[in-house]
Amino acid sequence: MLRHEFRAMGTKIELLLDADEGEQARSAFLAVKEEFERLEAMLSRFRTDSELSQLNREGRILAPPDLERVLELALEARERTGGRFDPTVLDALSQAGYDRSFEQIAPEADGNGSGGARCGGGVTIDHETGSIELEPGFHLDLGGIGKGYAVDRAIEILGVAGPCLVNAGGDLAVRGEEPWPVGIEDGPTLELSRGAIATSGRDRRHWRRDGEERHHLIDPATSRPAETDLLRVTVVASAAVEADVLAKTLFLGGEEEAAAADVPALLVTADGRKRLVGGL
Amino acid sequence: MTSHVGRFWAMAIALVVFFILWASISAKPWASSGPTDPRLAALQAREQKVQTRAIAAQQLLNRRWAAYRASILRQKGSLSAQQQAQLATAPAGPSVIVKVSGAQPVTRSTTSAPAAAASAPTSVPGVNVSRATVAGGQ
Repeated sequence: MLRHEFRAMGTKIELLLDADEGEQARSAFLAVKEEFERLEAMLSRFRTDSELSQLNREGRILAPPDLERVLELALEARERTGGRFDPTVLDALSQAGYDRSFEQIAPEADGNGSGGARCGGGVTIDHETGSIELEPGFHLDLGGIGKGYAVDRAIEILGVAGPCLVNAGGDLAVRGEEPWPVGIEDGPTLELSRGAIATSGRDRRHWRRDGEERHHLIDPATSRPAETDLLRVTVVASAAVEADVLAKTLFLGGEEEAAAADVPALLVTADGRKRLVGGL
Repeated sequence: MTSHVGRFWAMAIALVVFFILWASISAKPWASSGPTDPRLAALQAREQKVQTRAIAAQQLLNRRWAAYRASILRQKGSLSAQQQAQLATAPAGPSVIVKVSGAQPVTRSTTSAPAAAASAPTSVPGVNVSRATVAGGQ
């Protein structure tokens, strides 16, 4: 078993490959690393030179195919989830205090008052010309889906070299015939033979503003950090993008709605209870 | 009173006539367009040439972008057809296979947290491979 780790997209990326050490494995690891770096350079809202930042600044750009695809997936998810998953949450996130990379956010501060930010903005993709246009007054954050997209791309690349696992700070996918044992925080080990896992929660990325607890999972209905009886949700799905979307949607829905959704998941409630649902 | 008004208008008209004359004379309408500075002419020619080249480059860029988009759309269509064909021939199976086990995990899924540090440098640029000991893994 070969392991390679590096840092990208603000987190640790871990690659496991069940293959002999050699040129093919090294090339595959390098290709995955470059793919993560390429996608981060395109999709990061913290890089002023990323295509996403350019789109947020200018409102309309000729977009590279990957940005177009990620946005297309995000908009499909918004439609499927009735607006619970929304890529136009950047202003609400900034208003909540997440206006810089997480490491730079002060744990406790004043300011960044409430009100003003809206979600659910219009996004127009023209597939013929490859242009993307935002409704004036709305801006995009693809943090809720970009990492999942990168994991899905990475597993395709690494999978050529053998059975493998890609874990990007909790968003992970596997490829291979034999099951991969994956530990879930506060939960059991899951043997995953096919599919992906994503965890969303307010237990790590949180801070305080004006004496009020804030976190990074925005409820588009209120444009504020979601108020839910769940602390964390771990979801199993066919692909990392899907797992990402489901984890956030179930988190916003709360315990009972998540339990009824028939999605394999571990729910950790705010009062510390753990529930395996969806046939797990 | 009437004579004051008359004087005022006479002054105003005289001033206007004066400025019109001044402007006309300043414009030197009698001066012919003599030989221009050759450096200025060269600069204008160069500007014209650069503008022409910029337009040509923009047109070329537009053509290449259109060709690239068309090629991407063709590839997407081809991939989609291949995937449909694969789905049609592949045995039907669940998209997710998962079960709870007591095996030692090879990794963990947690809420995304900032990374502590990057991996160490290695002999192959950007790639640091280590052998992992995995119990119950593949």
